[in-house]
Amino acid sequence: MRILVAEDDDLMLKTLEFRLKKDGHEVIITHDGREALEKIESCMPDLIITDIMMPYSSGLEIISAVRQKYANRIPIIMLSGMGQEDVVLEAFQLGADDYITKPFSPNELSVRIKRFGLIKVGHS
Amino acid sequence: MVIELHYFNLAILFFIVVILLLIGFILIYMHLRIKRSHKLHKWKLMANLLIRKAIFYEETEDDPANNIPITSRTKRLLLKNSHFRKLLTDELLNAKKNVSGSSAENLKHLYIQLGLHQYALAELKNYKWYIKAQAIQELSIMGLKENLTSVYRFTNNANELVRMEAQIAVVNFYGFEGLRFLDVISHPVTEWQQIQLLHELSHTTENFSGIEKWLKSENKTVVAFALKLAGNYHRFELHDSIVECLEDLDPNVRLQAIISLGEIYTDKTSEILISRYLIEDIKHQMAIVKVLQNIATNDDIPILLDQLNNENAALKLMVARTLAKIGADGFKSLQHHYQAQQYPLAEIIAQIKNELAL
Repeated sequence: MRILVAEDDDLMLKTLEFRLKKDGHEVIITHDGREALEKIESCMPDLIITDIMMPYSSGLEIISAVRQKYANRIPIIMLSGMGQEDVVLEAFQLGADDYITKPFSPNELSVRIKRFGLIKVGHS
Repeated sequence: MVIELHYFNLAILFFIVVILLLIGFILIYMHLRIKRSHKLHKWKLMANLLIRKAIFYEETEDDPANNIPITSRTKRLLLKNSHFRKLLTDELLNAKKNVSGSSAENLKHLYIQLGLHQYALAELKNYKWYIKAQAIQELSIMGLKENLTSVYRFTNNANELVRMEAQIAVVNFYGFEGLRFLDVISHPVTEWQQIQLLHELSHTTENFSGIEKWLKSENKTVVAFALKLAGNYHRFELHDSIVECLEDLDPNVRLQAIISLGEIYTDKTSEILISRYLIEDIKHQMAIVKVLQNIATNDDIPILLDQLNNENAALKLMVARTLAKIGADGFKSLQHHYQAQQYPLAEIIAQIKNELAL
């Protein structure tokens, strides 16, 4: 799967990249919302993993833009901090498919991504 | 004329030397800054590489101690360079906040393996409060429960920030059980501290005890916090003890008791609150009316209608809203009030109609 990761924390971004590559995915990393929106356009990922709080454009703006442009073609998993329940609800209303709360286990994220992969295979 | 020219030349020479020195200083300073920034970048890469290795480290039978492989260069830097140690610690803490499960355990293991906890424990003895507070936070984030005793003694520290970090740490280690510092604390638990503690407790789900004792504490901020706990966790068995707090001399305790009764009420609660209403000040009266929005019944309509004569417009609006929330009878009585066609009740009723329509 081609996965786009949007996360402003460099260490987390590299950690996610490492894990996802280890799982055999193609990974596109972006450090902020604006870069993510540009890369989504040019790379057309199969899945997006986005943090909520990011510079320039937030995770919510990414979800909204993707849903407007590509409807439900690209699944989106968001990464949210503890106590951001309101934001999570808003993200679901905007069209996010899943969320994972920080701190999270990279293994759990890996399993959730596999699920999206299976759904995609099922659909095709 | 010759002497004047000589002084002029000297002045120009002096000026040129100063400029050259300044340029030299700026160049050296820039060079050092760039060198430092490169060094920091390199250190950061080293730290991140090590942390990533730890996050994805899997136990092997080759090393029974399950130690994460560390390069000799990292070890050397750790021993002799406090800046690198600080950078690595900060990166580790940042990573620990973001991952859970076996990855988080691996990071804790790495932290101990590198001996970084020893530095934090030594910093607990530092006389500067902010170093102490930072060390407590570090131990808390890394989840070093085994150091509870070292941290626990700071829960009643004279410095508010040290105290707060220690209280959060013990709650982070032991959940509700960590709250036992409330038994003995003599300093106030500020509103901000209470919010922080409640946030920390929101991650735990186990049952807990002790609230009854805290409701009788000499420390009024502890009583207020206990009331919040009772309300938030719906401890219905404490209803009567909370009602007793309505008589407390501390206005904050009384206010919190009113709010908590809005969460754990019985068929007698509205009557009790209404009996307090007339002897309370406006802030508490507003709180009572707000709580009544959820618990008032048709029996409370007459007393609420009386309160519509109050001069305070905010209270009047709150009372009108409460009457509307009681149900059809309450709203009908509001519309039939003798001031219903006059300002400001007419406007208030129009607003409530809009709210009900939404």
